[in-house]
Amino acid sequence: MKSQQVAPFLPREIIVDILKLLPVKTLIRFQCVSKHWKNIIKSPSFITDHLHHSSQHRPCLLFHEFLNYDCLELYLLNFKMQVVEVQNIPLVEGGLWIVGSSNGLLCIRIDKYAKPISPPVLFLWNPAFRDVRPVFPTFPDFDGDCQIGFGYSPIVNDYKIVGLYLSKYDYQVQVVEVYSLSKGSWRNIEVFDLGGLTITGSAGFTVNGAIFWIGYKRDIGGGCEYATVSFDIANEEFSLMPVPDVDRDLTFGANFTEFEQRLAILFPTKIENPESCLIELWMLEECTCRSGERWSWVKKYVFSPAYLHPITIWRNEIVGICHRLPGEEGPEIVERIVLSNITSTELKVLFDRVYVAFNYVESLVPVRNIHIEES
Amino acid sequence: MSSSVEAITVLSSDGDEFKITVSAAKLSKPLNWMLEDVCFSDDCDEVPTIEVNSKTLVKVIEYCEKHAPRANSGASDSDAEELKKWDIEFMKMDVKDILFHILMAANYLHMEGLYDLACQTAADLMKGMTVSQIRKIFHIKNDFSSEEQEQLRRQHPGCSFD
Repeated sequence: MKSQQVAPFLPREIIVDILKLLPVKTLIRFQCVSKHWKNIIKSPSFITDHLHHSSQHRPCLLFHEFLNYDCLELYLLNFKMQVVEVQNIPLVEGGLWIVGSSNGLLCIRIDKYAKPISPPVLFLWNPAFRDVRPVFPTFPDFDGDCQIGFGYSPIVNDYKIVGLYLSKYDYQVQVVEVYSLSKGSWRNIEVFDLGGLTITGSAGFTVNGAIFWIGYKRDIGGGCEYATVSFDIANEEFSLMPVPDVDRDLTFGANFTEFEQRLAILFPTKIENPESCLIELWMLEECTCRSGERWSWVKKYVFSPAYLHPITIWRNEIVGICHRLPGEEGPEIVERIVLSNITSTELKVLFDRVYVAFNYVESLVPVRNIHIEES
Repeated sequence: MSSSVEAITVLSSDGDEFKITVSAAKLSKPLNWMLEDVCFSDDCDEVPTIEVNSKTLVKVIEYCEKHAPRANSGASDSDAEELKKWDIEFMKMDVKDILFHILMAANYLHMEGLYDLACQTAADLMKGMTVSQIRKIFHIKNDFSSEEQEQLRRQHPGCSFD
């Protein structure tokens, strides 16, 4: 038996199994090893394998400062519970924010505050891979408001951006355009399902191959009839679903989130006790109800040791805005982002400012369609 | 399968004999199939060969013997924690020397736990390596032309080919 052994040649499948465990930063470096390695790292099947592993083992949460549109200051809460600053790409000056996050791709919206008002310019950006690409809407003359949604459907293996154009007079949906990353083009789709509907919130929320918004119609008495608006990314169809049965204004304070791989909505409880609160977590469930409704919302409560306004759930933590930590007194109010562990109810302060949060994972997913680019 | 034996003898690819307990051998699917097919009573002198060299096989058997009690009976959290620490110590091995052999052996012997552990160990080691160190341990030549290198550098500033 020889004492010094030479390392054996590893077959491609073993190399792939090792590489998919590496962070994006390391894989960018290792593209330079050889053409063979570069081809592995760039191949769609490897990108999918790597994404699948990272989503399970390295989920992150991305924060950007609330209402600070002038610079895109981004922080990442990584799977080791560390906060790190994200290397920024200076895009253009002014008025930009994240309107969607899916599989490591961010959809960035840039509004020009010029007159006449023009639709926003959108960018797809992979911050980990430092890849960016503009997507221009084909509807440049519209002078109303615009709602954007961005998401991925595994059924068609495609990323899509939805632009809902709202009339500047009554904020009702007038035109809908869908951009497919694999086709590289926009398509106009019918809006009859959305007739008379106004869309609320700053952006759509994506989970399970669909994008969701809260919409409402004004009734004659001046009240609001709410609906959960769902866009199926695969077949590009809208449908209207019920909203949680709550007695409150849904245009403000309700936040979509993903919990147990399902769509959920978080509400702060109207509570008397400032030291703690029960957060309402409504989960969308498919059912065979007597009422004939296909979807219903089921309410759960989550305890938090401080009064907080929940913005999302990440892993086993409620992420929320907290004005006063337990035991804190005095008139001064500091807005903080805190994590409240669902099981242990342990509270952790993340930021002393208010940020909005997006589910995120570092991935190799390209901002352009590789099949189109290579052919 | 004979139930009379608790350990079996196998040959390494170098022709050395090794003993492995039946419960440890069950961690490997091919070894498990072999146990079912081959007669292992005391009066049977057939010794199967495993296509793994002696140095590697010692380590593989060591891993199997350590993990067998847990795999066969389930373990408490403290056992699992202890085993995790043991795995980390066990994997403190030189890549050039044996880690890649372990990877090949775990793959060939269908030992998922050892395979995942070895992949993770390799990945952790590689994170700190330069591109030329990677080429060396994987026996890879830099086959990029200078134009291709330039193009990659443009796409990813800071990329190094050394």
